[in-house]
Amino acid sequence: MCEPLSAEAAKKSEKNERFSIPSIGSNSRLTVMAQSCPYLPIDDIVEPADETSLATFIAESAGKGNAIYPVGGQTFMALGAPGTRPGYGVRLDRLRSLVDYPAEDLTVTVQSGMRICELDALLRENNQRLPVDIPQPSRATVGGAIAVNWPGPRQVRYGTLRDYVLGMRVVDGRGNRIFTGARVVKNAAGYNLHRLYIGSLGTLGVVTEVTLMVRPRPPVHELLVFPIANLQLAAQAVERFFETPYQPSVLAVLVGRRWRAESGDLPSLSSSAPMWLAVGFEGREGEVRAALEAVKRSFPAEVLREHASFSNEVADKFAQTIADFPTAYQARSEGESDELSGNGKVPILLRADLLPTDTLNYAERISQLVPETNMLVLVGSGVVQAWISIPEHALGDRVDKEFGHATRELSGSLIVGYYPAGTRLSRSTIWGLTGGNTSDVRRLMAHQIARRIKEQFDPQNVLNPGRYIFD
Amino acid sequence: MPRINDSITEGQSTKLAAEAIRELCSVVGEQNVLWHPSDLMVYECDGYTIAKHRPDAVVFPSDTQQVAAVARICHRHKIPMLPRGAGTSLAGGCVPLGGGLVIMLTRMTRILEIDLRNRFAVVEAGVRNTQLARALVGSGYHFAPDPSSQTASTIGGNVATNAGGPHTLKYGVTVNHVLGVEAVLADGSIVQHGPVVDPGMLDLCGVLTGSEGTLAIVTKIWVRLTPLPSALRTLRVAFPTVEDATEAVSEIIAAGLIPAALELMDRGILEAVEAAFQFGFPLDVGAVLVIELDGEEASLEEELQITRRICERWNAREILLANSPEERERLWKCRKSAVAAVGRLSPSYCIQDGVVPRTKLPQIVKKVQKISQEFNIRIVNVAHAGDGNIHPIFLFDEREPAQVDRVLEAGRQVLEECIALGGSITAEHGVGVEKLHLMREQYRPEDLTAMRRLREAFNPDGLLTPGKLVPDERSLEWLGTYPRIGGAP
Amino acid sequence: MEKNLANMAPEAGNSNLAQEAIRKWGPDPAIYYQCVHCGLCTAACPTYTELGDENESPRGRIYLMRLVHEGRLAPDARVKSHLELCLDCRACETACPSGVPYGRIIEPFRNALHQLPQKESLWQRFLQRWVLLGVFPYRKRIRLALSPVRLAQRLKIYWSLERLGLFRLLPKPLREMASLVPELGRSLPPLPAFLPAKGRPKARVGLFLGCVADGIFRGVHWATARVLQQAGCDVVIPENQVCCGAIHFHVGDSETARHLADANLAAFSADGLDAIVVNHAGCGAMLKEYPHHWKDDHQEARRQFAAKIRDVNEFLDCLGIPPPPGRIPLKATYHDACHLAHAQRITAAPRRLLAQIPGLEIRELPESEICCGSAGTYNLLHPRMADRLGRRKLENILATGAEVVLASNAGCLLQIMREIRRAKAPVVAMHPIELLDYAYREECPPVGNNRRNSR
Repeated sequence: MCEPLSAEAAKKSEKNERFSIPSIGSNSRLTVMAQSCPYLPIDDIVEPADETSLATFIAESAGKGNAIYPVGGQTFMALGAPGTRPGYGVRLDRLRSLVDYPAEDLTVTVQSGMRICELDALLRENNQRLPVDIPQPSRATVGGAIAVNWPGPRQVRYGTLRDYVLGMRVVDGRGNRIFTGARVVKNAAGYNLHRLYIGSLGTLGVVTEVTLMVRPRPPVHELLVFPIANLQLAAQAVERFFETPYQPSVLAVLVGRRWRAESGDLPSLSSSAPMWLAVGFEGREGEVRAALEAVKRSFPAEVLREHASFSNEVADKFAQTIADFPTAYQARSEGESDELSGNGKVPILLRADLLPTDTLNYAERISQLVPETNMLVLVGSGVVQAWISIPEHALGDRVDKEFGHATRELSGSLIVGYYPAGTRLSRSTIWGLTGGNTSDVRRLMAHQIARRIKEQFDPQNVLNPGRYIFD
Repeated sequence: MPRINDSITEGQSTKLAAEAIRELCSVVGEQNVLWHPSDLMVYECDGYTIAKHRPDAVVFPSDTQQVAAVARICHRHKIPMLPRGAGTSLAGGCVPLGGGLVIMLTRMTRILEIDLRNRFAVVEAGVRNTQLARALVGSGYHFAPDPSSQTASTIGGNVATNAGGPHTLKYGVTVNHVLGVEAVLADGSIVQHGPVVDPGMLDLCGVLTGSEGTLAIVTKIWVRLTPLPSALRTLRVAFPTVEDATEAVSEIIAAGLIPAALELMDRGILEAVEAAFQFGFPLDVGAVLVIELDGEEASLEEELQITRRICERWNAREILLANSPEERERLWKCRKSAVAAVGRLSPSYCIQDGVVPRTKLPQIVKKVQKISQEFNIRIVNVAHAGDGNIHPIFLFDEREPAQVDRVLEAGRQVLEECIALGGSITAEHGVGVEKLHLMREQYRPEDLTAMRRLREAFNPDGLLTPGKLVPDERSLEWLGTYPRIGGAP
Repeated sequence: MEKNLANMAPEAGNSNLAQEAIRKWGPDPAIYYQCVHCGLCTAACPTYTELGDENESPRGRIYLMRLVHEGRLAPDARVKSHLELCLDCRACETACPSGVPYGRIIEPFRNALHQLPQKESLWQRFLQRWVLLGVFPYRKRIRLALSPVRLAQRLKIYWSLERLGLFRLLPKPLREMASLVPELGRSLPPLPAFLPAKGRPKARVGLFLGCVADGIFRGVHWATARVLQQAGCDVVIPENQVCCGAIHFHVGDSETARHLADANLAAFSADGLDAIVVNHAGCGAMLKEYPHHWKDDHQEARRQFAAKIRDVNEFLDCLGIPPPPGRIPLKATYHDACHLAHAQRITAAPRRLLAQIPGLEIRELPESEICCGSAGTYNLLHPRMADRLGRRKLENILATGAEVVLASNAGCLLQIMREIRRAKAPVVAMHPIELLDYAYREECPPVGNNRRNSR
């Protein structure tokens, strides 16, 4: 089920003066492993034994002007621009225990190095779960999942990690250790500081411990996958279903041949269809049945002609396949040629956040701009993810101007979720900071506030410099 | 309208420069600025009457641009400012410590857009919670946060306090329903975040919600609309002891159910309700639970049976099930009249708001009973049992300083116990003025420093709602040890 | 905002006088402390809904009065203006979870303030002494004052004069009054002393005529009498009954109000009545509250009198009415008069009665519980706020698409009719009993094509 981390020879490495951090070498509370990473200017990754040594390490790094790059399961290393200052990686593999799990309170507190699959196994024992889909759960850590906050299929019904994080312990860029939030499901004392650390790639602090709200595991999960001929049919089906009172837990359009390959050992999807509409329901037997009936009543006949259906564990597996879409290509090693690379083209992952009603139109635009894309359209929550293949020399331009323009027209935002290492792509293109709406003073003001917050919590810009929206 | 030039003299007491008042008048109109002392008295407190601090002026802007212009004036003249909605805060959130200008958002009452298909609505900050609810009648959607103040409280106020209500276990609190925010900063700049997710931006909506007006003045909110459940089942269950009731709650949740509401009332409040309204309620019970299940008709029957069996296993004396909307009204009546009953029995009351992990609910209720005896103050309890959120209600007479002192000390001890049990000093009412000094008990100095840093990022001059939420030297200076009756400090 | 200020310096010298008056005439101070300051009343208050100012909310006004009582605030012109702007609609009483009897705070407090020497302009004095107190409460004098208007309307020159703007030449207080006068229609004969029940009598009731009600809306009294007869009531209309006294009481002339009250007690006592039916909410509220206002040896008699007072909707709903034979295929909406909904807590009965009219489609009026701005004579004294509320009410009425709006109170009818005239809106306003009366006579009211409000 869960793979042990591949053992790497631990050795202390010699660094020149500039890098020498007192706590490294002086005590065994910090393990140092040689490891490089294509997106980070590091040679080693430090693994602190506890929060105190992490805090000291960060404080000392700040003093020396070094950078620190938090890494988790390394499933999203290509999210963000390359780090700009040399430094150390930091991994919380030694902080992965369960801290407290009062199941009747519907909360669990874990250290952030715990793998998502380990957390899931824990919660399963009490028939509970965290209803947020995380890509690559066998590798991803709780801290990493929080730092990335990537949208998954179940978001349409259950929300995102922001709705489940109740409190956390964080070490900020000065080495201060902070507790924010609470261990109870409702708290109005003070600011919701913990919200800042979700989705901000660890640039404001390294999360060491999290308290999460959990939910009961629903007894039944039924997922239907319908092959469809085009996006218009998908839109029709979705709109008709919207008239019914049932809330799907999965509502996604899967576009492109890749999905057939991805389904792996699952019953294979029909080979002639260019795309599929996946609809899933979770809950008690009775309500799931009723929802499936509603699907049969509302979907157009053309759509209902054929479908694959998955139940319970198999349905969960398929939902996970959908969730894994952004990391699909990382499973292959870099440089391996496949349909996306070659001929000077590079594969990149685009993610657009839009109003739900705009998603299918946008997907149509993408497929017009770049034929043969593989897409995941989360119709219910308003996210379009697309693996596209573009000649490298035109990359920045096309992302900013063509795709970015299409997104801004719909008042949405566009980021790049993956690009091959070494590809020239600016930070502002990656995070959708360029173009259009520069006249939108209010959004600029928001960026200014974000910068001020960064300056307050990481004045030396120690944490992940250059990777996120900050310089 | 009294003419400003004639009347600002030494005894007339406005600490604001005449110049500033003139500028404010030119922005919002003379008739929308209050500066005469007699007009300012009603603004010295809100629903928490123990703390009173009078502002130096009050303005009524009608749109975001005016709010921004007002903020610029205050920024220039170094005038502290505090935004206020309907003033229903139970913790002193609207009390302007240190005086200054109160910026009323009650004129900004437009619902700007309702998009059912994308499940959001856009409202100005002064829109009342039930005003939005009325606009959504018949649409099949609602704005889930429904604090008991909802008929009067504004959505801006709900955002400022991260308001809750009886449905939060299932539906979440206000921050889970805020998709976007437009706000005015202390220097008059306008910022917007949302409504569409922007991964390249920090969660400003998340931190502005619950910030009690200390980071920015929220002027417009994009709120999430939630589909109404198809069906409901409501039960009222009487238990011999509070422990039985809370064990039943734990088991219901362990069985995988998330009821829409799980309201607990102890014997004290039941006696109060009976004394005030004579509903004919059996009084030999230790606690009553009002349970509401919602969802799909197809599963509700099963959930109802599970709930009944659990209640019976925990010695339920009486289980009443509603079979019609009228019966549902009747079952809810004893819960909804709770505060009204207390109002009839006591000249003043103070509703506390503590939260503990749910499994610790019996302990906190016992502690409250003990404190009630020790301090000789009648305290009755209502709780959102599903969240562990307890509302002890202290009955007293505000005109007797000795009683006030006892109430404040007793309240402090209740909240200290909440902290000790692993909870928080406030679940949904906010810190306001009431719990400022307790922030130091719940959080360590480093945690409070982190909060101050966040405030610094938004509010570097410290003019917006100074001294509140995160206590600093000014707070203590303005408050003394405890807040006091009787006007400016 | 409405301000009736001459100056705004606190009247330091008069402060002691004021405290004296408040102690003597004002409310029982214990009631101030029933208010726990929760603020839920603000949502129901029309002036707060319009202005958003805490000073213009019930909670704020109670607080101001309490501060004056505690000596923390002088009852200066600012304080007075906030208290005067209150409509006394008592919607806050309905909303208050603690059951604070707001009317019993504001009415005596304002009464106390009125006992103090007032700074009034000549026109204000004219309005008050001569018109409000000299003409309004006497139904014969009203009819006399209105006869030239009737003539001008018959000769079709009245509305031309209004369109020409000649009414703007009138002094302000008279201008407001003039603007409220509707199309008066044919002058109907006065009601006789007795009207027998149709069929076997089930009850014997008195009918209260009021002042403005008889002066302008005599048709409603005739309709009421007919419907009561249909329902099986003998109707007794004492000749020597007088105005209920509300106008006098609310401007501070408690003594005259008491005399009027006692006159009514005398007029209605001799006749062995099962009930005294009142068809206008403002009068009904005042009559029911007679026992609260004065403390002397007539209390018991007033209590017995008040116990017999019934609003006509309340009475007919309780008695039961025979099914009306006629159809009225109209779209209608019902406006809750403040003094019926809040002061008397009657909301369901009129709706139940209207539901029995065949063919009538009733549409719920949004913000029905918010005052129309009439509030007795409020619209004469605070025209700007009254106008705001009147316009708000009309917008809500038009939003329903109704052809007729029903209100069980003379003041509301005048206010709403004026807004309809100003906006030239395709709606007609009438009393619900008139509609019932049409249904019994199997006639249809002149609605839709005929744009003038009919009498």
